[in-house]
Amino acid sequence: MTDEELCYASIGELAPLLASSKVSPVTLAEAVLARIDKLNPRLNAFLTVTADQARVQARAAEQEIRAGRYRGPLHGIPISLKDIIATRGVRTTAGSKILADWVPDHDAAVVERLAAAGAVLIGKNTLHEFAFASTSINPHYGPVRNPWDRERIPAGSSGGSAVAVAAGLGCASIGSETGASIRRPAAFCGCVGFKPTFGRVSRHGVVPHSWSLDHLGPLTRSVADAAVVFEATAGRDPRDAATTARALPDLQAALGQGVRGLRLGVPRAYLDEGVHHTVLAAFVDMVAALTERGAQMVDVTLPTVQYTAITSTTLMLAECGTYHRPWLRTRAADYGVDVRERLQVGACLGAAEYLMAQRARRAIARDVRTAFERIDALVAPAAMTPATPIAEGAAALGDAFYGVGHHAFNLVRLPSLLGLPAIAVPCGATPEGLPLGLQVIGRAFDEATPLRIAHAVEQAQGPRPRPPV
Amino acid sequence: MHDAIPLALIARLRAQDDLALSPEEWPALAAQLAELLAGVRRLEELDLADVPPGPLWRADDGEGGWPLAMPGADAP
Repeated sequence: MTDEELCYASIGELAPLLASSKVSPVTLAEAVLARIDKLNPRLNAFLTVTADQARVQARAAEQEIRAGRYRGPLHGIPISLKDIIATRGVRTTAGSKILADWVPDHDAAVVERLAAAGAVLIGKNTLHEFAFASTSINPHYGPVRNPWDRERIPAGSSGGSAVAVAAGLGCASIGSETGASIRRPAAFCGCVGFKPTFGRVSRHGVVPHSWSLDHLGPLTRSVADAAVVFEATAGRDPRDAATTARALPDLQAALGQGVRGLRLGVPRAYLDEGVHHTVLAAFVDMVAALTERGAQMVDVTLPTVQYTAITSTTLMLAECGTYHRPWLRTRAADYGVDVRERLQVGACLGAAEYLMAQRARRAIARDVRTAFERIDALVAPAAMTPATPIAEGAAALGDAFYGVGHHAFNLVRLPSLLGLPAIAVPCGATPEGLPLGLQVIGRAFDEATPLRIAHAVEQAQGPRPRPPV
Repeated sequence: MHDAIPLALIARLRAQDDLALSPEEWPALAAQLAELLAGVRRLEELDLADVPPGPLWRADDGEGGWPLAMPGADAP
């Protein structure tokens, strides 16, 4: 294998080579670190590269594996973290000026789990400030650049995570999502982004955005890899009261089962407004491909979903306005303008508005649960547009942040609002070669079905091209 | 400059006295706040008569006792 082939190999390809000592974790780590050194100045995917730590961890993995103590499929695998996840002794900025010099004295729970699995931490990924918007244009650390066109955004807020994975700068990254911050960057960059059910992955040690909406999940180059990383990071943690001890489904068994006999809900009313024609065409083609493979498409109407975005936005602004209030009092000038204004607006919300949104959330959940009596999963575009130009900013995304109506943005926000498992998987490209994505949304705690369907989408397309970096 | 901002919005902005929001910031914040509150009011279009705030999933609907993850909520 060349260094480039090593850097683009999946966890599924690398794990047996590492386990049998045909590839050394040290060789793999050095290849990835060299690639980061070469490409990060162009992409800005990493705020901090933990090269020394990675070398120590890679050598330890090499010694353990040679001694017959192979821990499993993440042993010796280079992984990065969105820089909102605390790392002991390594600065954790949350993409902010306020935390620019914060060096935690503890690891987040997800870091502990990755370390226990033997993963090699290669660095911390750039993000939108405090994970609080969708462009990853960061006023303090510069814009993250899409590897398919460096004048375009990777979306956000887990922009650096998606860019790192898509550009071969590590096998996986742990991102976070409050609205669509794992799935949309994955769609824009041509990788897989998986947001598990709320409560599956502990958020202990993660700088909060919104307590009732925040999730952690992996970005990877394959669906199978997302399942592997998810399995390693999921589980009950008493330090995050939302986590559950509920057993995981058998994900590896599910992946190869195909889609024959599955009922896939298509919310057609939401695909007419705000969806770019290239996204819609790719989605329609994939629906046809899945139908050919035996899936049954079911038109679904979801009357209350038109209230998703405003409900999610209200909860988000109220919760993060509360969390940030001490800094708003003392360091307001240290926020970027877009984030500061949103936080200040959130600080003005009252209990009545917050409770109204919580009630609406339950009403929407009830509506979606009724729809799931007829279907096994929902399918929809993972993002409404291809990657948009950095120069056009957030407006080009067309998000209806406060909107009510049959706008596709509601579907983008739905899984996080309701805590449902959802995965974005590459699905076609624009004529210019920008990747597009499809999302699959499952029932709570049924991660197996969306992963199974996404795997079928992946299989239907064959090998994907690499970005021109 | 602030004549066009409804008094109710100005009252909300002024109520955040600990944040010391500058009157120069009011127009931009008031515009966003007005849009947000208009959206929240539209949530009244939903049939919420028997929908209290609380867990998204409950033991009696077959999903197990998964709580809405508010700070301090107990996990199942």
